[in-house]
Amino acid sequence: MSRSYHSREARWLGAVSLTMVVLGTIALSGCSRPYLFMRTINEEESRYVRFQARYGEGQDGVALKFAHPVVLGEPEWAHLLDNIVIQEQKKLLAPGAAQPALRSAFDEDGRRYLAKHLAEGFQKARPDEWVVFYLSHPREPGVVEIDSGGFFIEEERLHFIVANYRQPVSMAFIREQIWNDPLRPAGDSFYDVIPQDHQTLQTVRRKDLTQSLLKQVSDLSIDYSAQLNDDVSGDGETVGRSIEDRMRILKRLRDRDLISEEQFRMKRERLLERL
Amino acid sequence: MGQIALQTRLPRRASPGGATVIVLALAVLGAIVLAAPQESDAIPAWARKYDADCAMCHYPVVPRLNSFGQQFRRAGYRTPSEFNKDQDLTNVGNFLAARIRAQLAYDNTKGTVERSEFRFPDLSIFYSGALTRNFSAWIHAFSNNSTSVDFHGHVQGIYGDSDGFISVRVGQMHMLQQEGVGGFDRPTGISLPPIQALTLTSTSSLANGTAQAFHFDLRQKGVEVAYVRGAGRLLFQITNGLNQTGSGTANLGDIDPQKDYLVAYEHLLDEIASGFTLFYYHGTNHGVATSGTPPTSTFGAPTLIGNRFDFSRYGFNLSKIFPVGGLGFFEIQGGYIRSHDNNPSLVGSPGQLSRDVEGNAFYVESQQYVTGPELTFFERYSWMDLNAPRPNSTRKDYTIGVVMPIQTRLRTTAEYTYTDNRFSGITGHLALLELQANW
Repeated sequence: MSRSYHSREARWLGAVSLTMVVLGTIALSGCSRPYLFMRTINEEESRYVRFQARYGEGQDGVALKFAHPVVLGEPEWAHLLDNIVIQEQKKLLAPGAAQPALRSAFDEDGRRYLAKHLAEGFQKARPDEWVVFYLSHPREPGVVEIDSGGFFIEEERLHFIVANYRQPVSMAFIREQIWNDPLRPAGDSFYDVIPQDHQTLQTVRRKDLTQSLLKQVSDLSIDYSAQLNDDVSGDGETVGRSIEDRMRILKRLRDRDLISEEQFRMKRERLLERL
Repeated sequence: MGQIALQTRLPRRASPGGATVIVLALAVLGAIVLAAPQESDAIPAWARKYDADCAMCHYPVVPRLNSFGQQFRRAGYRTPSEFNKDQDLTNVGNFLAARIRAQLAYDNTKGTVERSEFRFPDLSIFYSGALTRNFSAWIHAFSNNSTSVDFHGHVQGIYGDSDGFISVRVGQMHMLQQEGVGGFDRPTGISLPPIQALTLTSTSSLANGTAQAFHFDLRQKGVEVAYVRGAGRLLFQITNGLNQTGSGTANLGDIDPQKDYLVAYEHLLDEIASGFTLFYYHGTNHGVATSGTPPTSTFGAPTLIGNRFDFSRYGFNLSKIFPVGGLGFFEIQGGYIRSHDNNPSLVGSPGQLSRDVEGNAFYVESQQYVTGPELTFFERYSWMDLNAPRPNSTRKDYTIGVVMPIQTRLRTTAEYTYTDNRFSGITGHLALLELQANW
C-alpha cells in the first residue's frame, strides 16, 4: 500500500471517529442523571403521590425555593384539577373528522385521588420538593396507560408539568422508569394541554427532567388564587359546584389570607344573591 | 441491501475534500438535531391509530420490534383486544405511512478509487393494516437510489384468538429477514448482518462447482402458514424460489416444477426483544452449465429445465437482552448458517472434480442501549467461509456504529465497516452517515 493510501485511510477513519464522537457527545450530554429523593404521601399498586427533590449536576434542585408548604383544601385542589383541560391532537389525513373535544385531564376517580393527596402533600412539602404523581390504567392485555407529572408553587403560581399523558406502555422497564421518575417523558404525547382562564402554557426545554437537550415538556402555569376566586364568584353551571361548596372555598381563602375581608364579603353576597 | 457488498467499479479520480464533506454534513446534522422542533402531529400510521409512542412496539429504535410489536405483526397488525372485531377503515392516516433514508457514504475499497457520495437508498410508501375481523394487508412501494420502483405486499388471514391462532399469508414477502426474531428482525444500525444479506457460497472462475446466489434478505412469492401459540410461532413457507434474476422477485421466470420451502420456529424470550429462530430452507434451481463449460450463470434459466441444483440453508439466530441497572440494556446477538449447494453432475470441466459447495457463516453482535439519551451503540463481527473446502475462502466484516433517535419520527445513524475478503483478495472500508424519517 502506498503512503498516500494510508494517509487517506487515516483521514477518513478520523472523519468516522469524529462522527461518532459528535453524535456521542450530543447524546451523552443528556446522560447526567439527577439524584432523586422521594417521600411517599400515598402509594397503591397502580398509582402514587410523592414528594420528590431533585439534586445533582445540571439539576435545579439545590437552587429551587418553592413557595411550599401551601395550604389548600381538597375541594380547591379538585377544582384546580378540574380546570386542567386537554384535547386529543387532530389525526393526520382525517379531514372529515370533527375537532376532538376538550375535556378535563383527569377522570373522577383520578381527580378525587389526586385532590386528596395533593392537599395533604402541599401542606407538608418542603421548599425544594415537587409533589409528583403516577396514575396507571390497564388498556388491554400487555399494555397500560400512564399519566405522570408533578406540581410545584412558585411566585403565587401553581405549575403543572405534564410528563406523560395517556402514554401506552408495553414494556416493564419503561413502566419502571416512569414509576421511578414520573417527571421524565417516556415518549411523545398525543394530547395537548389547553390553557384556560388564569392559565398559561409553555413548552420548555428542561434537560433536568428529560435528560436530553432534544426533548421538551409542557409547563402549565396557573394563577391559582385568581382561578379559585373566579370559581367562587363564577357561573355555577360552568364550575359545576354547589353554592355551599363555593361558600366553603371562599371561607378557606379568607382564612388563609388569599383574599381580603372586603373581597370575601363582596363575593359572599354575590353567591347569596343566586340562592 | 448489501451495502457492504464489494462492488466492481471503474477507477475514478479521487475527489479531494471528502473529509470536508463529512464535517459539513455533520454540522448540518448537528443543526438539524439541535434545532428540531418537538411536535408530534405526524407519526407512522399505527402510532397514530393507537395514540401510541414508538416504544409501544419498538426496541431499542425503529424499526426493530419488541415482543408486543412482534405479536402485533404476527396477528396481522392487531392488538390482542382487536381479535375478531371489525375495523374502521375510514381514516387513511391509520394505514398510510412513509419512510425516507438519506445517506452520506465513504467507500474506500482496495484496488479502487476512494469515493464519497450522497445516497438515497430508500423512499418507501406503506399502506397496511387490519382490514376486517380476520384479514389484513400489507403494501410496500419503494424506490432505491431513485433507480427503480418496486412493489410488494401480501394478504393475511388469521383464525383463532390472541392466545393461539393460525395465520395464512399469500403474496410476496420476506422469508425471515425483517420478519423474524432474535436478530432476524432488521438491523439496529444500517447494514444487515452479512450472513443474512449476502450469498453464503461462492466459486472462482475455475469450475470447482458452482454456487447459489441465495440469501435471506429476499422477498419471495408464495404462501406461508403459521401457527402462533403464546411466545412461539411455527411457520412453513412455500415459494417460487430463485428465478433468472437470482432475487426471487422478478415478475416471471419460475420454471421449476419444484418449489422452495422454509420451515422455521421463532420464540420470544421476554417482553423486550430477546428471542431465537431456528430455520431450514431447501431450494431447487436449474442451471445452464453444460459439460466442459465452466458455468457462467449461477441462476436458473427460465427457458431450460435441466441441471437441477438442490441447495439448503439451515441454522439459528439468537438474541438476549440484559438490563444494566437503571442505565440501559446490554444485548448479545448472533447467528450461524450452514449452506450446502448440491451441484449437478454436469458441472465441471473434464478432468476436474465436480463437487458440492459448502459454506459456513456466523456473526456475533453486542449492543448497548443507554436510557435517557436513548443512544444505542453496536459492534458486530461476521465470519463467512464462502467455499469451505477451498483454502483462503473466508470473508470477515467488522462493524461498529451508533444510533440516536432525534425525535419520534427521526433517527440518525453512523456506521463503519471494515471488510477483509480473502476469497476475492479485497479489503475495504465503508462509512455511512444516515438520516431516517418515518411519518
